[in-house]
Order: sequence, then C-alpha cells, then structure tokens
Amino acid sequence: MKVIICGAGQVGWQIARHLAGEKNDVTLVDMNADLVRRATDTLDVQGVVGFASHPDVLEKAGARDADMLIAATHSDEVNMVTCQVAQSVFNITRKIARIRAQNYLDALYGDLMNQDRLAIDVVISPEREVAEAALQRLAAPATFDTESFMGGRAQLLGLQLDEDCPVLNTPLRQLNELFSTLRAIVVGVRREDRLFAPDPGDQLLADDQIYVFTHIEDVNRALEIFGKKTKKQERVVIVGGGNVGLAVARALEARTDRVRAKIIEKDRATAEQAADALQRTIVLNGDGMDIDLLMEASIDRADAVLVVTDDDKTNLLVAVRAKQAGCQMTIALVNDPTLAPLMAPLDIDAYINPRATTVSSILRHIRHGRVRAVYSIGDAEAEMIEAQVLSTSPLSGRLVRDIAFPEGVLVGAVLKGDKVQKPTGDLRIDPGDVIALFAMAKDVPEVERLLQVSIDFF
Amino acid sequence: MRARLAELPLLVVLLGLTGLLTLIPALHALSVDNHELARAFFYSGLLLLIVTVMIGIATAGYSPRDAARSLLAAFVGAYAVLPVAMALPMLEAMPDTSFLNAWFEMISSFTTTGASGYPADRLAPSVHLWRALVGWFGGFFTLLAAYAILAPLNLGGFEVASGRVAGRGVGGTAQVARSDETSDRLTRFALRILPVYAALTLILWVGLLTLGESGISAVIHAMGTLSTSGISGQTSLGAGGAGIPGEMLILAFLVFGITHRAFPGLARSRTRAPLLADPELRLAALVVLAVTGLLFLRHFFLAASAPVDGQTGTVLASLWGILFTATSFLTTTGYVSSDWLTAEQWSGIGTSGMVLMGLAILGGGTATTAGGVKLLRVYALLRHGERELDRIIHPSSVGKGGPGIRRITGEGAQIAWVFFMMFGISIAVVVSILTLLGVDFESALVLSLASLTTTGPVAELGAVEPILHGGLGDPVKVTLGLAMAVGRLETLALLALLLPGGRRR
Repeated sequence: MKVIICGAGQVGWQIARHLAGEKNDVTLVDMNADLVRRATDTLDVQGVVGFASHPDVLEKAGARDADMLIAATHSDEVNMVTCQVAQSVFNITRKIARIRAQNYLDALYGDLMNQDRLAIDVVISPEREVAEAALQRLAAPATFDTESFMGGRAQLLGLQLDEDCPVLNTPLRQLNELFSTLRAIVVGVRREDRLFAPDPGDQLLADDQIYVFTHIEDVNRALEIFGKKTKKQERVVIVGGGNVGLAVARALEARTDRVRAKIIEKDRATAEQAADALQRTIVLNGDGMDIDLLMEASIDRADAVLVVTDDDKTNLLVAVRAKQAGCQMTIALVNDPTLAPLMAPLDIDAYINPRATTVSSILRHIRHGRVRAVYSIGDAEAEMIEAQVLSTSPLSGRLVRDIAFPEGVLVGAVLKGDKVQKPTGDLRIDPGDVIALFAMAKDVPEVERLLQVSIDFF
Repeated sequence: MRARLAELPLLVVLLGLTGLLTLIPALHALSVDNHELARAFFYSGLLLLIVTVMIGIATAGYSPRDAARSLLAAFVGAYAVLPVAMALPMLEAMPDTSFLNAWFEMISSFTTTGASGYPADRLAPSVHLWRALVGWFGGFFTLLAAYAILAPLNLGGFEVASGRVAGRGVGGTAQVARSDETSDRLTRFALRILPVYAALTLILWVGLLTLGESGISAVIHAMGTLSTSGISGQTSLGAGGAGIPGEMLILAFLVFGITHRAFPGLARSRTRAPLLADPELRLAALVVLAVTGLLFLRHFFLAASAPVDGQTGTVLASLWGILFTATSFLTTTGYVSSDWLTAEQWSGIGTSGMVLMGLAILGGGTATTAGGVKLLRVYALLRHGERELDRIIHPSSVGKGGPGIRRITGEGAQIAWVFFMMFGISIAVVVSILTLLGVDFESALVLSLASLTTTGPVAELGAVEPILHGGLGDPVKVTLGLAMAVGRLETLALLALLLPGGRRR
C-alpha cells in the first residue's frame, strides 16, 4: 500500500516506522529538511521536503497513485487543508487527519461520516487518546497498562507480579482448571525484558510482567487472584494542564463518584484556560517540581498523581518526587519508549506512551480486513488485535483447537453476539464473531492472512 | 440644527434645555388656572433661553484641546451652574423664599437626592412638578454622562469591569483611526437614551393612572422612580391611591436602577448571558431578600410581643412593606411603602433607619440613575474576598470564571476598594463639617449619608425623629448640597478632573 505521511513529528515518525516495518511504500513530507533526511536515513521511507498542503508538494510525494494520506503536522488547519487537497486534487480514497483543538473535535466527531463537510475519513486526536489511556490507568490502579476491547466488554490488563502473588509457580493449565469460571486468560508474559506468548505448561514467576485479557465483569476478580487490591481513586493530582490534563480533569468531573482533582500548571495563560473550562477542579499555577506547590496540592494524601507535561524528564522527576512525598500511585506520560525500562527502578507505577496509543488508533484504520482495534504492546513488540471474522477467513467455522495459529499468537476472547466468551479448545468460530488475538510482532502478517486480508476487500 | 447644537459647549446646551423644561410646569400652572405661577415659570424660562442664546453666540465654534476632559469638566460644572439656573423659577414662583433654600431644593432634585426643605403642602403642585422634572432631567443627565462621558474615560463603575486606570481612555487608538468624536457620541447617546427613558416614564405614568392615582401625583411618582430621585408631590406614595398594585408596578421599574443591562437598546457589548445572570441583579436580589427575610423572621424571635396581631393579611402586608422599601432604598430612590409602618411594627425594629441607610450605601447599579457605592463595586469586593479565602487554602490557585471575572476580582476590586475608601472618607469629612456647624452627631451622620448616597428620604427614616431639612441652618444646607453633588459625581470622577495629572497636557 502506498501511504503519504505529512509531518515528521513524533506521531508521523512513529506511524512511518510502523508502516515501513510492515512493507508499505511510505513517503514522509515535512518542512524541515533535517527531519526528512534523518527519517530517510533511519527508516525505510522516502522523504519530500515542502509544505504539506501544497498540491505540488503532494504530487512530488506521489499523491497521484497513493492509497492513503495521514496528515499529522502540528497545525490542525494544515492537516484539514491537506486532506481536502488530497480529496479534491488527487482523489486519495483514505485520509486521516490528526486534530488537536477540542472545538474542531466536537464538530467533527458529531458527523464523522459526513463527507460533504471536510474530506477527512478518520480523525485522530493524540491528546484525547492519551487522556483516555490516562483515565483507564486511573481506573485500574494496580495495572501498569490497560486497554479496553470489544466495545468496553473486555479489558487487557498489564500486571506486575510481586513475591506475594498467590498463583506463582503454577502451570497456567492448572490455573485454568482451578478458576474455571474466571473469564480471563494470560496472553503475554515479559520475563527479563523478553515478551512471549505463554504455553499452557508455562509457570508465572515473581517480577514477571503479564498481560491478562479478561471479561470486564471479572476484572476485579482477576486482579484479586493475581494479588492486586482494587482501591477507589478519590484524590487525584494532575501535573500539566494542557490538552491532556484538561481532558482528564474534565472526564473526572463528569464522573458521578466525586473525584477531587487538582491541576498544577506552570504557564499562567494555560492555567487560566484550564480554570475556566473546569468547575470543581482547583487549578494551581506554578512549577510542578516545586515541593511547596506539590504539598499545596496535598500530594502526600493524594491517591494518584498523573504527570502529563510535554517534557519526559519533568514527568519522570515529578512522578518520583510525588512518590517520595507520599503519593500512593504515580502515572507518567513518557514519549520516548526507550525510557520504559526506567519505570521499575524509579518506582513509577504506570506510564502512558502517547505514540503507542496514537499509533494503535491509526493502525486500526490502516489494517486490512475487519480489524476493529489494535493495541500496540511494549515497544511495538506485540499487538492485541480485535477483528471480525469474515466468512472467507480460514478461521470461520472451525474449532479453536483446530486452527493452526503461529507460536506467538493467543486467542484472548471471542465475542459471539454480545457475549464475551473465554476461548476453549472446542469453541467454534463462526463468521461474524469478533475475535481478540494477541500476536507477537513477527506473527502479525500471518494473523492478517488468517483474518483473510485480501485486496478485494476494498 | 443638530450639527450646530453639537458645536456648542455642553453646559450651554444644558442651560437651554433647562429653559425649555420650565415650559412644562408653566403649562401645568396655566391649566389649573394659576396664572401667576405660570407667568413665573414662563418668564424665568424665557430669561434662561435668552441668556443661553447669548452665551451660545459667544461660545460658538468652541473647540477644546481635549474633548473628553472638557466634557468631564462640563459634567462637573453642570452641578455647579444648573441648580442656580433652576432655582430661578422657584424664586419667581415663591417670592417669600430665600435663594439658598431654592438652590438647595434644586441641587437636591438635580442630583436625584429628592430631599426637600419645605413641608409638602407649602409648595403648589406645579412647583412639585418642577422638582420632579428637575430630578427626572438629572436622572437623564446621569445616564447620558455615564455612557457618553464617563465610559470612554473609564469612570463611573466602568473602571471596575475594565480593570484599567480610572480617568484615562483607551490608549493607542488614535493611530488606528479617528476616534469617535466625543460630541458626536454625546448627541448619539442622548438621542438613544432620551426616547427609551421618556417612554419608560410614560408607561409607568399611564400604569399608575390606570391603577387609580391622580394625574399630577402619578407623573411625579413615575419621574421619581425612573430617576431614582424619590420625589413625591403633595401626596406621598402610600397615600397616592394606586395602593399595592401601584407599588408593584413601581418595584418592577426599579430594576432600571439596579442594572444598566435592563435598559433596552444601550448594551455596550453583545453578551449572550441572560439578564437574570447579571451579577448586579443577582446581588441586589440577594441583599433585598436577605434583608426582607431577616426583618420578617425577627418578629418570630424577638418581637413576639409586638403590638400587631398575627393575621395573614398583616403578615403579607408587612412582608411586602419590607420588600418594597428595601428595594427602593437599595436603588437610592427612597419611596416608602404604605405598609412600611405595619412592617415596622410587625418586626418590632423600632427605628429601622440603620438598615435602610446600609442599603442606600450599597447603592444601585453602575451606569444607572442610582447613587451609593454601586452594586458592581460591592460585587467586585465580594468576589475578591471569596477569592482571597480560596487563596488561603491554595495560595497558587488560579481564579475561575473567565478573564472578565478574574479582572473584576483583581484590578477591579482594587479600584472598587479605592472608591469605597473615598466614599468612607467623604462620609467622615461631611459628618465632621456638619458637627462643626453645630448639628448633633446622629443627625449629622444620617444627613451626610442621605446626601452622599443621594437618597433624601433617609433623613426622614434614619433617626428616631425625622430630620427636616427645612429646619437646618444655611451653612448646613450648603454643605449638604455640595455633598449631594459629590455623591452624584462620584469622587473618582471629581479627582480625575482635579488631580494635577489631569492637567498634564
């Protein structure tokens, strides 16, 4: 597939890397010649220097025969115009635009399908996705990673196992028999920096990080079994009052259980904007690294702190500082995925990687077949794929145990009608079912083949 | 003609308008066959017009260096010159009165204070009409000045909302375009305000007539309500004949003294917020309801042995009496409900003057005809206090409510506080002058509050015994007259004109 990506910023770069890794013909467009050169040097992509929305630049990037355009420059307006040009001049069928401003988003999400208005097929908003991810982390404080699937009926939980976890050193098969009513399955294990899909005979060890795919109603039970307590978050401190912090605070205010949130924001104007947009939340203006200010936000009594400034180092340091001051749980926004291994030594409970969340949401729209959700796990090491089984798929009509899944692939759950079922050997996959698959990165093409990925779908 | 008029200095035009206004009581006197009085008004009006024309010819083509500041001077000057001119018909109509008494009567009316040095039955109805008319004209002039003179200079309450230095216009507009010519602005606003102001008065007049009040008394009360002067003719409001329905109608029209946003067609900006969300209106409602509730409940706790029985009719009447009178004094009008006496006995407060004085100090809305500290300033101070309490808990917290509210709670509250202090100082100064002149302290306090808040009737209700202006000495009257002018002008406007910085250029 031929894809043009406009904007070689964090999001554009990450998508380019992902798509290029999947043998797509990717062209990156950016104003900054250095960025473009660096991209062409490191990734398997072509580069064009120029203003993304200018038709001649797009033509140079091969817009005449492109299948998809992703506009991810930092300007909402440029992204929209680029999509419009792609539609009107080059007739590119699929156009994805990254939109930040809440006002545009409200208008666009309202009638997403209405092509007459703006020639954008899909709107992605990293801030919104990150805010959602942050909320999920807050909702499940014991996890280091979570994502919901199947329209909120199932949940992927990332758990760090401690010494006192009651189910250590037990084969998974035995666990399955022990808790036969629990609709949950361990789909991935990271042991000593290596992620793998476990066999039924594998055992869980202390210090393992595991990914559990569970029915939404069994989340608390699953957490209990793995030795995690669930506690309600009542006092939340958010450091950074930009788009992400504001969106999280808004969502917290909208919740019926009274969560008391406080926002710390360094920039006076941003702080005032946040204060105007919120009702109950208290907005403090000052440096989040300042311990006096953190104490003013009563960090020592807070249940959770969410650090979402635009600087990775600040986020990590503030999280450490908050933990030291007595905050129960710290969540940090980290852009650089290579910083992820630092989380354990720094005692940061969870992190949000905006690229991963954004890339996940873009991948969902790029993947062939009836892929409904894709969640990128770790540093793009594996994916959780939710897809509808087509009648032409080799999966359809067969029992789970008869399907020749590759070694790194596990079935998380099957959605039949609106009931989420735990995959057992004698469960039959019918056309129209939705299946959630954990797949190691190297096995993704095979999974796509199994999901009947063919050009004729388009 | 309009262009020619606009070229004349404001004071000259006002003088001419005063001359024209005398024709109305003249016509009234003629219609009641009091020819002597009609002549007195007509001749003095004619005299004023002739003088106006002469001064007009002499000052034609007058072009001040700083138009805005010259208008401010004219605004202040109007209170010095016009009452003298207005006293002329009074002197003619009542040969046995002294000039000082007539002047006091007129400055009291023109500043919309409404205090009178004469017993009500000593003045002929036409003279009462003249007093009400002067008060009405004073109200119109106040409105006009607020929009056309004070607003561009960032005075008269607008400084609270803008948070900029009072007495200065917006800088840096001269290079953008020729700014709105100040005299054009004056004419434009005059033509916008006058029809609405007159129409509202007319509606209230007709309403009161329909409800059974006699003609001359109805028009005097209508004018007194719209201008918040609180002037009554020979019959007080309670005896007017319109009864409680009439009072309800008047209460409805008092809203124009609470918020300038109620005044149709004069919005300075297109705000989407509904009228009911107006902070001044809300604050006024809160204050009035709180006072009503407290005074009403007082009966049950403290005045159980009050000499009034607990019949439902009495209860409702006293409730209404408190509500109406409180609103009327809050807008510095000063009309007293016919049920006020019932209410007073019901709640057993005895002298309720202190409450009414407090209300009068709060005052009505900015850019209305009301006086006092003005609700917007009180609102700014309240919000500021609320914000400071927040800051005790969270010193670095950011205020909510948008840039407008933040400005009001910050710089706006500071300016409001300055004004509040000035108001306090002027009370102290007037009280000390009055005590030096031999007035006893309580009377001095009541009289100076009545004058500075431009709520004349406070003098009658404030102390145990009503204080009659007629019995005061001449120096006291002069002091009170000047205090009324100061209260009407607002100290900030006076200072903006007088301080050396004003003459910098």
